[in-house]
Amino acid sequence: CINDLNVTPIDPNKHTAEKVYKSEEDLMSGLGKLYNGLSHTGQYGPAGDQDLDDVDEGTSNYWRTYWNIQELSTDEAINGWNDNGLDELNYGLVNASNLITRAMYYRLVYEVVLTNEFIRKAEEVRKPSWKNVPQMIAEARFLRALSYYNCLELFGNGVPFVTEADPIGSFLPKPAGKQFGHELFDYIEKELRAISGLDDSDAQLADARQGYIGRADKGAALALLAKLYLNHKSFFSEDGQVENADYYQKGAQVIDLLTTAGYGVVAKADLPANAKFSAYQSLFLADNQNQQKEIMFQLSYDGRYMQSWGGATFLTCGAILNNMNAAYFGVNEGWNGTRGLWNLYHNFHQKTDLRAQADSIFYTQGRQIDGPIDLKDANTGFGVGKFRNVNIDGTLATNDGKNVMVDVNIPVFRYADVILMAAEFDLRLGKSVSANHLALINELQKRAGNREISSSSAIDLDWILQERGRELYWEGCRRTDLIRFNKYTSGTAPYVWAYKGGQVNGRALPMQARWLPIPASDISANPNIIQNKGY
Amino acid sequence: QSLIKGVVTSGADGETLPGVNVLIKGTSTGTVTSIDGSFALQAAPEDILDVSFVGFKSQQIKVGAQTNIKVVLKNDVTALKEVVVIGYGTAKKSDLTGAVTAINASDFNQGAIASPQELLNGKVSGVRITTDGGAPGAGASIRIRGGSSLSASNSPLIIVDGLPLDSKGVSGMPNGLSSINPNDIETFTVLKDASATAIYGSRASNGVIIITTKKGGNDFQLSYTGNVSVATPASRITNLNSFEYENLINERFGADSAPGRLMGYNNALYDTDWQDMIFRNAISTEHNISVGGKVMKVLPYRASVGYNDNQGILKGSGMQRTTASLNLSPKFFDDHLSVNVNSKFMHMKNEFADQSAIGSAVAFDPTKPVFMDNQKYGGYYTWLDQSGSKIMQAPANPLAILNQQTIGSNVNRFIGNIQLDYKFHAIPNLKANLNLGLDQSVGNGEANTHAGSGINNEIYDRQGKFYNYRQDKKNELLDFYLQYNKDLPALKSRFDVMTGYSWQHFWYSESNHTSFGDGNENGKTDIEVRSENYLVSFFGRANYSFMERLNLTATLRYDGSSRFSENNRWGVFPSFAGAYNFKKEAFLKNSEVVSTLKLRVGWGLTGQQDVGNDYPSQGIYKFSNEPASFVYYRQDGSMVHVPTVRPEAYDETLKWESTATTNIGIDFGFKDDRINGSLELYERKTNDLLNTIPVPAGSNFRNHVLTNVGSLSNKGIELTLNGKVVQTSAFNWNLAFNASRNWSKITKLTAVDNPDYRGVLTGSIGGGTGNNVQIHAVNHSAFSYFLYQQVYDHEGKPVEGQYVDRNGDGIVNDDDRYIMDKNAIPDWTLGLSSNMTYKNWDMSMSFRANIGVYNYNASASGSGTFNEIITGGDYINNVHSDVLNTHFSKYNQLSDYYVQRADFLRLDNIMLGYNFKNITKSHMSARVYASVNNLFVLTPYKGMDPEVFNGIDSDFYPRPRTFLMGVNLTF
Repeated sequence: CINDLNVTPIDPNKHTAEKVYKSEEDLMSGLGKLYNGLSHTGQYGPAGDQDLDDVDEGTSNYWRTYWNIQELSTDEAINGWNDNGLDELNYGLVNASNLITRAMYYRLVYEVVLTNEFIRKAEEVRKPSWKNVPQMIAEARFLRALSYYNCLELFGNGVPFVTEADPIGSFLPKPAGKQFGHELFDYIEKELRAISGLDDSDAQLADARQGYIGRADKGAALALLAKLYLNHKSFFSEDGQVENADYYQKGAQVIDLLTTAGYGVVAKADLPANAKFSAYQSLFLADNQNQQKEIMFQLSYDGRYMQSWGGATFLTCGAILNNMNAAYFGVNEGWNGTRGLWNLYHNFHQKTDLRAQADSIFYTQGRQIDGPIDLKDANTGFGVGKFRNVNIDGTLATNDGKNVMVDVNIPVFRYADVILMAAEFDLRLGKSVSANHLALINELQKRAGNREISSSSAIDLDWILQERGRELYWEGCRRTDLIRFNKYTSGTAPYVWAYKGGQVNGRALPMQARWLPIPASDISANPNIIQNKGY
Repeated sequence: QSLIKGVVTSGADGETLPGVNVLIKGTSTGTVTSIDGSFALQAAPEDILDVSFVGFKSQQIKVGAQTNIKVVLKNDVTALKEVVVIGYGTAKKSDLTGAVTAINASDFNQGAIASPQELLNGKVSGVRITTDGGAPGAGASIRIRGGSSLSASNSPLIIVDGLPLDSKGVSGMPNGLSSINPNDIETFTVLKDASATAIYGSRASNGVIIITTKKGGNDFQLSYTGNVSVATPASRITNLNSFEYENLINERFGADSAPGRLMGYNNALYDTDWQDMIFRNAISTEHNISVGGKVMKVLPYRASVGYNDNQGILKGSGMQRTTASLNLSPKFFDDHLSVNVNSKFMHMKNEFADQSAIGSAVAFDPTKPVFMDNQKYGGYYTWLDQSGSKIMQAPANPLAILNQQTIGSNVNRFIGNIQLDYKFHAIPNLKANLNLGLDQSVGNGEANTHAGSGINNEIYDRQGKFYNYRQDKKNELLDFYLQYNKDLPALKSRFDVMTGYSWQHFWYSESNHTSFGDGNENGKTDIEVRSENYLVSFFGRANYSFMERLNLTATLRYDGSSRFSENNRWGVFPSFAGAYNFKKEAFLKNSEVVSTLKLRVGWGLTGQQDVGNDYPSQGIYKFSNEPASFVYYRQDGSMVHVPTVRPEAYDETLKWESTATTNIGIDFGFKDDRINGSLELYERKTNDLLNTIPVPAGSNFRNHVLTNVGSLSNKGIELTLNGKVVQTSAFNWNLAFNASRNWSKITKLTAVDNPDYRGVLTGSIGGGTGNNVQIHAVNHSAFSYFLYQQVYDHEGKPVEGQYVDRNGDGIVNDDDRYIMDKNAIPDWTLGLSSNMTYKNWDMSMSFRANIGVYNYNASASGSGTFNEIITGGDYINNVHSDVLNTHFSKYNQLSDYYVQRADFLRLDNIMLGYNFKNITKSHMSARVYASVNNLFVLTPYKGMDPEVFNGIDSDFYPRPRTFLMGVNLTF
């Protein structure tokens, strides 16, 4: 009878670690969880069996959290919900107890731990006949590199560093290194170079545009590598102004690989004849998996199989304000949450810019331009309907408009971003924008309905930052961009916007706002982790 | 004087009684009955014979003309009380060494009682019982001496007729204990300190409640009890009535404002009290029949059937329970083998009203009618947008919430055991006891929203939502123990040793299904869950008694749980206790004042393993449901979806949480115990808390993991006083009072001390995600309030949005939240019972009080703002009337303004009864009575009801006031 105490699960959906992976398909379920780690939460869907504690399941979603950090603390968006920690993000001022940055930190490290476990198990159980395992491992390594990159850009080099060589259980992970050290950067660079085939490796991703849509290929890895190189100066010093031209050189080489990989700007000619939306809008619709010419890596969403209160549902429903018709966005409810700041509106000089199309993307009716702003008043700010749960031909997505679970896939890396990075590398290397890159920029201008830029001399770094704000607004990269351009914290000429620093008219943020604090809970749990400077 | 003969028999079984004292009153002349119960002595007609025997009520008989006297002695109930049920056996009360309180039927709470714990509420010091609200069959939380855990269960172990119940209860039945008919219960024994509970080892840290049910007696007895009661809403949430609402909107926003225009319907302002619409006076009835006696003089039995139809005051809520029980207790082989068969069956049908109707009733515009002309949503008034659909954020019609949903359950449960107790023929001092038990239940339930209901747009669009579930549960038990006792008169000593083995298996299987009326597969789910755990134990106890004065007890339990991995599975739980009876000493022996004086001292170690999850210490992978799949596309655009699999967090080194308890108790009695009571002092220290806390990021598959970190201490004092205030032949008045004070503190919470780490937030409230108002922090009690300090103006009004900059850094932010010394757990809990009898009349009252307790008024903080009226959309809300005090425009939910004193004194029950004795000269007796439950609550608290478990008061089901008439008939 004492032997009764040796139990294993009797639940049909639970397995011991020894027995879970019996086939290559089972391994695909493990890899699927890694992708879901970025787009979704939990095993119940959309809520009911969450991955993390201490935070509401929808709020804990990776992209929702990442997006809130990247957008709310900038000149592009605010959200007046009464959710804990949101106001501090609106202000750009968080402390070590902030719930949303805490959720981000644990979500990112959680993703790393999941990828480590997957790599470990895949190596352990693989059979020679399972031909796809090396590529699956490379995909896991990509997702791990992406999470570590997000750690680096938000929290710095001092985050816990664990790989497949570390155990699970009672141990104290060590940080990658000191706050402004190089260790995490070097690791991410090494990993990305290996899986994208720049350095020798037996586990490589599918070639760019040759793999499955919604899974990472070499194009995704190279786009991330370019971002890593471009942002390097933000990581290595307190003021973020120490540059190393070698990294710009390396970045430019990566860009060259990408501009010859077959990607392109989705233009009107690429759309079906019955298209009801502009080429720019087609990138943010329910069937945008068809725009793979431009979308280099996406987070998949599906109204039936991939349901979440974060991610695309949050982006779509969260932005539908009282006077916007939810049905028009292919859902049955709006959440009256995220709103555009007037700075975003004014960044578009021509009101004809299709990226800011009135009453289709930008909803300003009944809203007083530059009027008084009240964070908690849903009538403050304007509506941004960039994400829409409707197919390109105007038909409803799989949810029939009868529920709120959205089908839009979130573009994480877009070729438009690569084009703007290409021009920025040119400028940061002290050159002017190359003719080739100028031609690509003009494809973006053409799609936006703007006049083409005739000469490279019209493009300087300030223009790049503004143009990124026009092309890539609300896509989750604004905070990193403002920091790279030294516009986020004090700097020489403080750039302010409404509620920056907690004041209605804005004020400069202190230096430490460049990085987020490590949550106090992890400092208490792990003496090896050192709090970031200024917190 | 003449020779008087007689015989003495027992009223219980008719057997003759040898050794009975027969004394002529006022003299020392007397005799003792012989082996056949007979006696003979010389007495005069005017003499009075005093017949007395241990365990029976004395009788006085005038000799008169009688020469042959038959005396029938009745069992003395107070003498029976002296035996107390303890873990794996019984003990004489005088021999007890631990903190044990026994409460039997005559002390139970009266009136409208639906579940067993209500019988006990307020009766035992150190035991706090809080019902979850006033719904029929509502659950209740029981805490004995505070609670020794944080993440693991804090509920006591409950044992029914020797069978430990599963702590998790049964699906579809909010109150697990309500499967037992309160009328079948004979005694509750509450084991509070470790020397009493440690015999239950790993489940004993939060105390043990042992319930025994009634057994058959010697005489045939048929009894019927029945009652009818009316429950009325006793309290309500204060929102604005139609008139106040209209005035407020006109004054504050103006009649032409958006809110002004949105008032009323079809140019008329209605006056709808939505709370009146959803509550009602509820009528309930209860019938119980029991029959007991002895079949053929050898087979004692008791059988009972009970039916309780309990209507709730929230429309649509109710419970119908049928119970049946059968107990057989035959003895064989010259009483060497006692068999005890207990079986209880219960069928329960529940109708659960959706309690969100209460919040909607508070928030719904009172100027609207209940029904509207538009029939889209069944005619119920609904806030519509321009397209004619319900405005998503607007509250649903409260009455529609109740009428357009079907939420209910059907539960069947069987609890039974067979106990064999064998006294060895060769060694009568050696007994073997085998107990086999089974607790099996099936719960079925549904929660359906009808097609056409406007409660939720998605459900309307999908033509209704249908959810049903089923749970099967099984709890199997095998106990075996040997007991040996020996008197050593030469050494004036007595030994009693016991050793045993216990095996228990808990298993359940659950499934649920969701579908929609449109038949579309999207959102359709079929979930199945199965789990089990085992407990295997060895245990022993030794009692030693010397000269009837000194009692020593030692117990040891060795427990193994399948929840832990092989190396950490077993735990050792010892206890030691001693008691000394000073009354037997020369200096007190003849004292007329002091009748009882006993000192008890005990120490013991108990454990805890009840963490909910059955596999917390091994690596488990869990597959997803369909909506949590992963989707990707082939190059041709076709979709592939695969389920995902997640590794679950675990701690391989997980082990027992252990609590060391020291208890000192004094039992005292004065004037023949006319005043008696006890005083207990205790200290409990829990180490290796089973605690779900943040673990180092990167070390596990979750940010919080259940692990053994932290410690907690509880100290307390408990006083029990019983007094016979008046004792005359016609009028008797007894009072029972108890008071408990508990000091609780978390002493360690994390592996590393970090002064910057505040603790684990808890106490979640609505209004947004992640809003918590309480914290578990070191050096504070669990569930301490953690908020901003409100700034008040010179008139004492809170200033909106102004909080004290407590750290003085010039900005008010999250760093300025502070841990209040006001607590959600009462400092003092008090109970007072009064029982009066006058001739055939009786009257009883039970009061209960909590002192030093605070609630967070989430009802006021969530709906007491002016912005709740304007909403920003095309609808308006009613508001909590607290807004008239605060004038808050926006949410200020993290203000300490909302922490409000919640001390109370409640008259739980008052009852008046009349007994008809020997109405027909037969054995029949009858009693009629009337009672009121929850007659009044005295409290400074501003919310609906001060008594809220763990302090967060958000729109819960109000406790009704219940008027009851009942009759008991015994034949």
